[in-house]
Amino acid sequence: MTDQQMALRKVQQADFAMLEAGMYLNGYPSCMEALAYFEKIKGEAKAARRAYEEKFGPLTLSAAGGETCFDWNKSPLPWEWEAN
Amino acid sequence: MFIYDRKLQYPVKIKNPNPALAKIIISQVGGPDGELAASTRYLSQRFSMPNRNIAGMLTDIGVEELAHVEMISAILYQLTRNLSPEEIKKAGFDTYFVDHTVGIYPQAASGTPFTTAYIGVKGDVLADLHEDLAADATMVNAQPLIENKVKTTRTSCFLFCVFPISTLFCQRSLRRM
Repeated sequence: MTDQQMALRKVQQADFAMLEAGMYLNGYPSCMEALAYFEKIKGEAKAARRAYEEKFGPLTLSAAGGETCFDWNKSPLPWEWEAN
Repeated sequence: MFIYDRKLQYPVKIKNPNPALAKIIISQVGGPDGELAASTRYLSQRFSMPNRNIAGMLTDIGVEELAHVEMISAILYQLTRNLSPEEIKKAGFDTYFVDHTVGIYPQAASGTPFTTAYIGVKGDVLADLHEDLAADATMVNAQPLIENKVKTTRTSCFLFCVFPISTLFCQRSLRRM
């Protein structure tokens, strides 16, 4: 597995855990255990995303840019074999 | 407002194209119990929910279902890469190919185009939540059926395809119970 794949897996794992914890909290908004978990995984998701974007390019438009050429559509699209 | 996250929710990397399998998997995109029906259902029902918690929950789930549409579509896209005319014919993929080539057209495996007749939006909290339960129960019941169908194709794609789909089914069903 390449460095990029590993970095992407980390984002996917943390984002998925955060999403599911958020869903649970919709139903049980005062669960202290879940709130603590959400804070923890939210931090991991942010860190994983920042680490990926610094090295391999933007995942959301707010991270896109470029000095002479826009980098938003430079990398393969998510459904391409090469992107996974 | 929606923001695109330039990644799949779960990675899709299929080594061997298999158009016969794609013919079946496409129902998970545009079939009566597919992801597009699920997403459209939740994102349409949410507006008339009297309770903010429920409306917010339907929003979150409806958005996640869109990510599922994208993943299943990615599976189909990769299952139908680099096909020769002979492979298309042999797999019985020609009946789809004649209309859509290798585009991802939201339809059921039978060829029926996606329709919102698959869903219900009544603007009534009990009617709509009841419809959600019925739709989700259908998916739980359909799961072994889908796995059996896919198993009969005896393909190395089995793990790649069915595992993410069935885990999604399971987590979704468990979450909503």
